[in-house]
Amino acid sequence: MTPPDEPTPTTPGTPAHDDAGPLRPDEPGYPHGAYEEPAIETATPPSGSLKLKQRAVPDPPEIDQAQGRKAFWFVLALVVITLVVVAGVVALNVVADPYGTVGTHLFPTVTTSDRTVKADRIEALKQPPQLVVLGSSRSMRYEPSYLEKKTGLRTFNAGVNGIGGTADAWAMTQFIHEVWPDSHPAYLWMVDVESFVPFEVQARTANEPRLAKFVGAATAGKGVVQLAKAIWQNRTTEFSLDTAKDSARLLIYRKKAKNSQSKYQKQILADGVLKQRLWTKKEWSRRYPNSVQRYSDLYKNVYHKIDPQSQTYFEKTLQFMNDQGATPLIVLTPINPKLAKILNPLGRLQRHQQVVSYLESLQGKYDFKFLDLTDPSVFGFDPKQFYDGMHMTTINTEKAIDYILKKTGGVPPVKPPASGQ
Amino acid sequence: MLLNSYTFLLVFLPVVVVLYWLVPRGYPRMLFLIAASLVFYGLWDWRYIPLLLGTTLVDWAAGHYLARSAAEGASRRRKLILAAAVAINLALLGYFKYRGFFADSLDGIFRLLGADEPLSAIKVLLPIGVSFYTFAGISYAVDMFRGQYPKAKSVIHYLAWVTLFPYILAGPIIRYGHVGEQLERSQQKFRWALVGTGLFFIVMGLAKKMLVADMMAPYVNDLFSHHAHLGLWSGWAAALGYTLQLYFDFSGYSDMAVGVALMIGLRFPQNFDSPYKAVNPSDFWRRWHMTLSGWLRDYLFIPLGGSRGGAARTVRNLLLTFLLGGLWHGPAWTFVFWGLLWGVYQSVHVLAKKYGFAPRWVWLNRILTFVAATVAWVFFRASSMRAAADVLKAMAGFNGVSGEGILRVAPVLAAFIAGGLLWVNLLPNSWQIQPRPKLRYALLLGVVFATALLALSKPSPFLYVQF
Repeated sequence: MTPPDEPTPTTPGTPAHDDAGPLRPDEPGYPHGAYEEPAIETATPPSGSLKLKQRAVPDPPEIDQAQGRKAFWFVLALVVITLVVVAGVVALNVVADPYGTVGTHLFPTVTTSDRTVKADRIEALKQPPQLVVLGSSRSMRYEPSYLEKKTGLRTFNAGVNGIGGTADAWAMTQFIHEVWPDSHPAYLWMVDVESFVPFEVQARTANEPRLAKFVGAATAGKGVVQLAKAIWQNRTTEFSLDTAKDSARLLIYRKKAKNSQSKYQKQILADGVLKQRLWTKKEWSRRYPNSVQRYSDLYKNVYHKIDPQSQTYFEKTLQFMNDQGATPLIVLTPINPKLAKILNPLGRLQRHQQVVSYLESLQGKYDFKFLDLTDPSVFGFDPKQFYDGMHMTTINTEKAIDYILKKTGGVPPVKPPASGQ
Repeated sequence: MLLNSYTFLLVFLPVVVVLYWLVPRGYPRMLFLIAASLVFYGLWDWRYIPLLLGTTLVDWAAGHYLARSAAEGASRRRKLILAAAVAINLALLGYFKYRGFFADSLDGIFRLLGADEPLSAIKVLLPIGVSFYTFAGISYAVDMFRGQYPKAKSVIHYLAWVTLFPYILAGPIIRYGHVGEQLERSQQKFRWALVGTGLFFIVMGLAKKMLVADMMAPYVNDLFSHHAHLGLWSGWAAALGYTLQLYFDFSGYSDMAVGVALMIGLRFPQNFDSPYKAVNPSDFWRRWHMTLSGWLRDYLFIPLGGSRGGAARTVRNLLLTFLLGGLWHGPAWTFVFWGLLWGVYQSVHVLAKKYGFAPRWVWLNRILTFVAATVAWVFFRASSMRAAADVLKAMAGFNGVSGEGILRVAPVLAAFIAGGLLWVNLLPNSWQIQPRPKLRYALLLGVVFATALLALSKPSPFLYVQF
């Protein structure tokens, strides 16, 4: 704001017009919107309304209109150079494929998630698993060694992080079947009430090409059309400077990248289970408030009904298991009663009832055994053996396993189909 | 739709520019422009299109009447029509932008008086651009009352001006007197020079936003969100970081708006003129958000009496103008205080000048003005008065040099601040660069454009869109 006693500003850069004649309105420099400033040093204008005195509004500096031909080549060159640079960066990202999104597989990815490690572990198994544990992070401490001791079945824990995740269970079963096509494992599927939140393929699954292909999140680079499709599907990743930085890092340090160890590579053991960790009060006081916040937000803002697309993946997986001759054990995972008390009024109770009704409604359609472990008091849990509101230590998971096997009469035997599907 | 989005830059803009020049001049072209602008606005939130059109028609009718009755001078009837037009615009602004703020403030007062029951919470979605198009409507009615410009040629031209997509979301605040005449002109022809210049401004603006402002934003946001833990360095880094981030963000938007407008043959006024080179508060506001400061001067400060009537009246008018200017930015006490602070700066400057206390050394004046602006931006950015006080306390050294040791100034932020300070102090601004159609410039701009486009992978609205 300019107090009127200040000099009127002049703008440098306004094109000089050295023509003798007046400017035409379509010429740069023509004083568009010139208006008048009030004659404030004099008396009020006779009409009773202020009239502003002349004040030119300068135009932006422009390319000389006489250079029309040059301007055309300038625009063309600018556009072509822009396209060339963008195309170059996209090509770099596609070749390096640092997150494994387009599946060129020329270099290792820089993002090693639990999915990558689990897929690695499955590929490294010497014999196919006879029992597979599926589920979210809450299932990751159900120890295969303990299950093997109790059932006599060689077990692999294929649980992966993330709320939701019926698509993850589908991708894991498909991947195990792809690696071990002749195996017919039994399944212990730890389902959460939150497994049916509004559906999305987890980014970590989409970024692991070995799993992504089962959930339509990525297509391996087989042919130009598929590659173009994969680039388009992942355009925000491929048309990105951030990705380009990782691509460049990957190309420069590709040996290091190959050997890099993510935290999951250290934490996830050969049978897929998470390495044991003792419960500490410090961890509880850090993690419990976070789980309260996270799940309160989820129930308040997101999870208002069970999602049909999550159901589709769930039933697709059940059908596949049945086709393979397996009768899976479906177990609703326990929740810390302290957290349940907070979440129940926010809608968890209704969602729980909906999920139970849904699972019961599937009983005639698919072959599975169902057990609701939501209330951990049924298996005599230790309230101190929760890391937070949802995740239990192995002391509690072992109690849960004992209870599951006792209540269901053990893992149902698999009857492989005669055709060997 | 954002100006800095793939949809706008790669689809909407090229299609609209090509069709704009293909459509016959005159009314068909104006109707096309209105349709394009409404699509642009509607893609943000189509539910507010009727509101935009309704206000526009009211303002057009009022302006039309005021222009036709110019012979009556400042008659009672004309004054009433003007007052009604201004009141409708302000009521609209008040309802959508300030209703919650005033209710919350009243609630606070009632609580102080001992009331237990809070007022019911009011949440109304803010129609995007409402602050800009209501100011446009007010300026048209006042200009017609004053006889400042000829009236709009038709309601079509008027609508084309109000809804004009390059500025509807976040300004600059353009008056009919500036653009209307360009819209009404029929001899405008397509020229590659216009497209070339437009591209130059778009690239400059996009680069400022994506490659400078947005690179600083995460660091600045992090510092401001930990306002209670800042030390001397981190406090200054937060304040200086935001000072530069806001400039590059908003002047980047303004450059893009100028560039987009040029591509359809319209010349917008300058909105930024190296504001951090200002030598006093008054100079700052001649260089920062020039279209807003010009608006406040012509439609608020001068009608209040301007600098007529002595120092006391001038100070009063300055304080009032800046207070309302602060409130225009948003319904929060931080904005009110920010405006008031600028009013105080301006008043101090007016008085110092009058009594001969103003320093003579240009660099000292520049430093003082810059520091004053930086302090004021702390209120503008902070989430609350308390947060602002925390940052200022840290800047004054009350929390020690490094605060609680939690927050360190990231080297990247320090580098951006150092580079940004050199840029705003030593380099010419976009309006001081004469674009030339040479291959080396095309090469340079092409690389910058591509880099900025590749930084667009995340949506990142311009800061002034929220106002």
